[in-house]
Amino acid sequence: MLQTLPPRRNDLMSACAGRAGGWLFGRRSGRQSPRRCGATLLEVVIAVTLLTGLLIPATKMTSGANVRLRRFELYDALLFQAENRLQIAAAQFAAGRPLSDQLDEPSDPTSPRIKRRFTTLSRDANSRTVVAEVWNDDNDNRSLEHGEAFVRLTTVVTR
Amino acid sequence: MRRGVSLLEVIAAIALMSVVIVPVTSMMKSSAVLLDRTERSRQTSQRRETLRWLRSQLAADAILPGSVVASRTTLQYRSLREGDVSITRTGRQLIYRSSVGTEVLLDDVRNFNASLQNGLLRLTLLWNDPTASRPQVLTAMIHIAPTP
Repeated sequence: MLQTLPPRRNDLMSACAGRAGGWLFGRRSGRQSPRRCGATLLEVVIAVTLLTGLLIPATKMTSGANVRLRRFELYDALLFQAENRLQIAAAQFAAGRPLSDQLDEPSDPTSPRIKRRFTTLSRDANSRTVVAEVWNDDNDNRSLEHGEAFVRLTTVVTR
Repeated sequence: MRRGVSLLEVIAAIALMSVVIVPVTSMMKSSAVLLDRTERSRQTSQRRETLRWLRSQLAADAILPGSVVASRTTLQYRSLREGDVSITRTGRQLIYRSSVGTEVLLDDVRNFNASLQNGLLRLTLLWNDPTASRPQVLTAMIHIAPTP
């Protein structure tokens, strides 16, 4: 003879969790609800938090790589411009003309704010020590200031 | 009986998605910017390296005086080491020809210009950058030292 017993208190709470509150807190008992299968909201929240926690540093690293690449590119451009200046100095000195940095040079594609200048250290009849300074003039005031990327190359030009 | 998600679950899902979408989009954006910049940097660096190589080549070649001919698309000279040398833009390629052989220096060159004034050679390269609105220009100055 089959006798039906009233459900116990714990079984009632599990049934509620499985039906109404299971999406938030998960199922408290091992009993499977016929309505819901899959992740609970709490699990989704944890997953989202972890994913966001990974993505934010990854974004910062990508931005950092962008800044470093820009810096590297700028120094390469500055070095190339400084090499150009030394070639100009060598040609001017070999031709017996005064060293002048007033020359029409097109700007570099990397930065339109690259500025250049010459300094002559020693004066001799047949040789001269020339310093070429090239920098990225961030504030466009034509003077080299602290924090601005610059390259200085020195050479001896002969006649 | 119809089974589906409740309104509360939809609201919760949208809220969670919006939390995830912000870093995902910023990640995608910065990756795209980085890729663009890397490509542009690669092209410019490659052209700088070519001009540097030409500079060192001209310095080492012992050019015979008066043999340099610079024109809009070609640079020609005679050297003790390589014989008759010409650097020419043919189509979209920059080609180096000497008695030793022929070499393609660069692809995708829009224009190459050489001019000589007072012993100073000016080589200008123009190329198209798909990420920039204007063509990119790079100029190398090369001092042609007289052969002793």
